Amino acid sequence: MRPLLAALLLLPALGEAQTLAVTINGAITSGTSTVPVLAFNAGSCGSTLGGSWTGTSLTTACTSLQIWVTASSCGTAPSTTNVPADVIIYTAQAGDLANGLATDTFTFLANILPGFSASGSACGSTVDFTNTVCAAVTLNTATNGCTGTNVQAPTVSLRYDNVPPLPPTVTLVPLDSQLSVRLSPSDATDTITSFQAQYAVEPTDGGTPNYIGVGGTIPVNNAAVTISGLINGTNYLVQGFSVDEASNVSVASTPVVGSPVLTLGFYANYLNDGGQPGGCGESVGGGPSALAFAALLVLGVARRRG
Amino acid sequence: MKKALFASILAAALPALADGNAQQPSLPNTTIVELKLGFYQPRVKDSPGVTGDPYVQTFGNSAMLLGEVEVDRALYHGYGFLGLGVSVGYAEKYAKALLADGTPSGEATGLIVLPIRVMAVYRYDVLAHVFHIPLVPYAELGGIAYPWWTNKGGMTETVNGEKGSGIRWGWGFTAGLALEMDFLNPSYAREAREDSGIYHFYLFGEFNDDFASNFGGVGINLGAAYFTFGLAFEF
Repeated sequence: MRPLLAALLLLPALGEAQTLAVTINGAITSGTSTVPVLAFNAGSCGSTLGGSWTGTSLTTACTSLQIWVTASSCGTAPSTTNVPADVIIYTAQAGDLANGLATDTFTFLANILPGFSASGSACGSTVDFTNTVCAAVTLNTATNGCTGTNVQAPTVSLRYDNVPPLPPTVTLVPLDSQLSVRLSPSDATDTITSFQAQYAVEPTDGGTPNYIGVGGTIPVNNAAVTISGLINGTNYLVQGFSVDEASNVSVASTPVVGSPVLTLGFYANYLNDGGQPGGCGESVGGGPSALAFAALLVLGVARRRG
Repeated sequence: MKKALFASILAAALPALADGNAQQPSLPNTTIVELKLGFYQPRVKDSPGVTGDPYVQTFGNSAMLLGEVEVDRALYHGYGFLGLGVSVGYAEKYAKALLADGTPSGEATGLIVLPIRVMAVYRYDVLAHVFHIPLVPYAELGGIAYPWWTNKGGMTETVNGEKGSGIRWGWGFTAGLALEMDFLNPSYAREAREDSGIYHFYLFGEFNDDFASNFGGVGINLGAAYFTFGLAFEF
């Protein structure tokens, strides 16, 4: 009878899956990657990075829960043989887990990543590497001691990237008093997150161009900006910058020269062919005014009929 | 073939005419909603002072796709449907703006029109209701307004301070022929009438001629002769 009762009491515990998840503050999943990545550059070397973990049904843990950073693969626990050595950044004792600890936060310094010693560099060096944040704990079983299920958290990547990306490819389309600027990544080894652009009147005396920023932060998925208010026939220099996921900014691209050009739309063609502006109701403010007129007319008729 | 068709229509109509029962039954003042499409190419070349054809020069010899919604309300529904109709349409055409040498540039230019019509409508539905010939010829006559504007580079085009937008007024007429679809499935037509109040479905084609030139005044001529085709519901 007693074994049956014990089995019944165990059932709810057996029915619940054990989970473990780790979050690193600021890590995002983007592009085709399925792993969240926190990318940072030398500007964060002195910074403290933070994260948290949550788990369920870990009260039978027979080892401490450890969170560590490795330059290798994760495994079931920090390795004692990896070179460079894994860096443990958090430990929760088995007793605390048994007492119900199911979530906690932790911090660590950005400059402790094993990748620095692997590359023989230090934080601040112009290197680019990715390490992995791992977390695992082993659960007890009644019969086999501490050889039960090893619960591991999905990994999170930490990328130290202090290598500026290559500048973008800039193409210009001349428009009427405008230049349409298109930017495209030319760096296949880096993750470009945005672009910046500048333009200047091309100096005719060989002087230094006086560049003006345009478009602010230009998103990669809509990498186009139109520079307005230009003078047709004047040469303008346009250069672009790539910004990667660690906020590194490339050097400026080679300036591209473009010159806005007069274009003739339908109305210009109409006037050039001898057409006359004016007449009742002409030039009343364009599409919005016309739409407002249409709406009023329809509304008026509807009211009369109602 | 045409003679045979005419003869059959006549044969169907004559008995009814002969027995003196060709009285249109009392009909409710119904509302007809039409959804139609057509190809519209404005007579810009007929604008006062214009020597070339700016429309063709800009967009080629290709008409604008025009979509329209029309609502007709019967004021009298006895020997035909006599009522008032209002329609609103939308058409646009885009092409590359031209450089001074006539070659296409990198930016688009467009012409957008929003034809609005307020029309007197007469539909000769006696053929369908009395003689069971599912054809309804109709005509419309009334005033039109053509709000219009031109775009270049995503903005209303302005040339030497003149904004390419406005409204053209005028008049227009329509002549059309609708095919009452009830005969395809009379029981379904009866159910539609009882369940959703739709008296009839029509397929129709019509010829329109709009004179949108401020009655011959200065400015752009947006009138056009064009066909539209569509589907109508009579409630």
